[in-house]
Amino acid sequence: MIKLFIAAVKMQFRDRLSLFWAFVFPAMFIIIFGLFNFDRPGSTTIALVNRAPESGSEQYIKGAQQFIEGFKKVAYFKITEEYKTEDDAVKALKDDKVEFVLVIPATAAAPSSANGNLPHIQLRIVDDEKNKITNQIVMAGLRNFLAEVNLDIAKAPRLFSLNEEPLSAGEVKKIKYMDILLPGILGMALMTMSVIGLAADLSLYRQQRILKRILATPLKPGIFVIATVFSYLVLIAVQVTVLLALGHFLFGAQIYGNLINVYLLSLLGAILFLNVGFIVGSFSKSPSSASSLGNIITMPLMFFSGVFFPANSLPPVMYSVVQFLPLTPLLDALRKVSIEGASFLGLGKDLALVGGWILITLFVATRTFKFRQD
Amino acid sequence: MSVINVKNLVKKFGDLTAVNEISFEVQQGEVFGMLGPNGAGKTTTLEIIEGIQEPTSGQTSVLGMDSQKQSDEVKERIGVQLQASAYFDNLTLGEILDLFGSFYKKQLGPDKLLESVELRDKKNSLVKHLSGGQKQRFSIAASVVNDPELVFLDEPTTGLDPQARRHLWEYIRQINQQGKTIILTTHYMEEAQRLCDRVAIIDMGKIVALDTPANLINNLKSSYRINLTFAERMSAEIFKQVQGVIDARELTGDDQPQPRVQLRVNKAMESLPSLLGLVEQQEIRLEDIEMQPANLEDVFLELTGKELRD
Repeated sequence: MIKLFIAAVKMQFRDRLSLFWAFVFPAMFIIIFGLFNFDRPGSTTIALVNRAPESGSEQYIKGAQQFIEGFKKVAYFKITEEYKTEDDAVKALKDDKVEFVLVIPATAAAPSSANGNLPHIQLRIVDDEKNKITNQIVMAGLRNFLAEVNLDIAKAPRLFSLNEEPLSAGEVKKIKYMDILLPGILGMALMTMSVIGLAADLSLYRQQRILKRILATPLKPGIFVIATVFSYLVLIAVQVTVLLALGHFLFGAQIYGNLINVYLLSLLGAILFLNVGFIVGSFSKSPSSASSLGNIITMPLMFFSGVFFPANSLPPVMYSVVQFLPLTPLLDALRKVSIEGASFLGLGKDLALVGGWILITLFVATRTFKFRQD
Repeated sequence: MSVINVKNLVKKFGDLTAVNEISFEVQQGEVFGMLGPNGAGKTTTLEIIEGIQEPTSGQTSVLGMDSQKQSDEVKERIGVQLQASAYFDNLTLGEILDLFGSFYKKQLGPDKLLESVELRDKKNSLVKHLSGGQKQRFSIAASVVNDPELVFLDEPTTGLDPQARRHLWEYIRQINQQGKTIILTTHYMEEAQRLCDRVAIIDMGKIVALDTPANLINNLKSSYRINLTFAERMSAEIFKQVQGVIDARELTGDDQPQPRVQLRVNKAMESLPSLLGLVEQQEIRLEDIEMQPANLEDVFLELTGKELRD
């Protein structure tokens, strides 16, 4: 039994194709999505054109200068002064090199009654209609900034102020996309490994009559099945470790919950999808048909069960169906543990769904998978 | 003493009767062959005796134990080589033998096994790096990993070239000389004739004859086969009137470069002069004449009316 288990593990780690699917394939997702960097702050670039020095009064130039210095301190925006004329800046906007053009005009605006009959700097904004959301954020930020500047100049006292306090007294939890992605990739990787890897192995063993050859020995078929399952659990434990390490050390993903719970959930998921692997392996005559059939089953799960984004961000009608797919509760539970630090007690519904799927697939697998086929 | 006992064995797959009321015994220490074309029911019979398939009806026993009811005990004491069976791709020869040995109570070491089939230097190689002949030798070594009393070999030389095939016979004989009984299936006439002490000729799920190769041939009506090669196509009918000719037919097929007629005769020396006289009277020129003593192929032909190769 021990010898069989060791041999099965050896085979796992000598099979290059299975190693590719176990490690390289999911790692590619982590690296590619990691490099996209969806969380980059200050992604809005504003082209600032200061025309004040052209013909403004000394006071006017100074005022514009003060504005620019203050404006640059607002970290949210990325400001470039590389475009010297308004035309250049607008051209850059059209070419999508910048999202916004802010022009300080050459001369002050005429005094108006709204402004206490004083001359003032009237900033001009050119934006692109298609970036509606960015425009709103930038405009809100600008108004806020200008209001502050105006109040400062008027030396007006503040009646209200805000003091932002983080929810937990200790560290601030800044959830990055990688924190959300990593549990998804874990689930996807262990699913494809369990379903396609096992089904391909089983159909190969059948095709090459290895199962029959084992049947001709006194070894109990059940023991061979158990050794195979355990070898997969070892491979999946290594897979989870490698992917977690990659996400954490290369892209700074955080596991806020208990790491042991992440492993336990992965184990449950592996058991569920290994059952599916036995079912797929029962219906496949060759490794290539096993991998096609396996893909037909795992692909929709990969897209609908929330590998790349939480499934509950799907339209509610879709989610009401998708939430019952086998991968969805597993990924939900993995994210609750890794991001929210949930304990197993808080995963009742997800665990019930995963458990239910384990029972269903186990039942079907024991009916369909036959060692001997006459 | 008989080590295998098969009684009224029947195996049906749906409407198809693969094994139809087969009975025979195998004696201890002999090489017993089952000769027949593909699909004759040889493999099914073997696998039922080994306890890896269930019969539809009938009994099989091995070393006095029922193949089905006592299959675990049976499996401990037999060695099996399956037809076209492979071994794990990602384990070395040594590891595979070690692993399969661990399935049995009694086991021989990988070194000794590999030594016996001259694969000692391939201990750390993978099966996929072996030649066809080496694979078959390895497969035979793997079948005796538990030092069995009985060895089942299903088509052990299929797919090998004639030289590798003869080479493999030597290993099979060696195993037999260690006192192990061997039961093998083959569709090569020569293999059955050279290797087996007794041969069961099987066709369409039935044993049509069972005896030593020599007896099977001696009991034939024809003792010789005469092949006549002609310059042009020649009808076989006229030869049937010659005394002593049991059967005459035209040989057709892609492997026949020239028109040939095959005759089977019981006493070649008596029939030959009148045959040649008959040929003289024909307009078609005789190019070659060839005589062969009868073999198991003729036995099969006479008993079933079919060529073994079909």
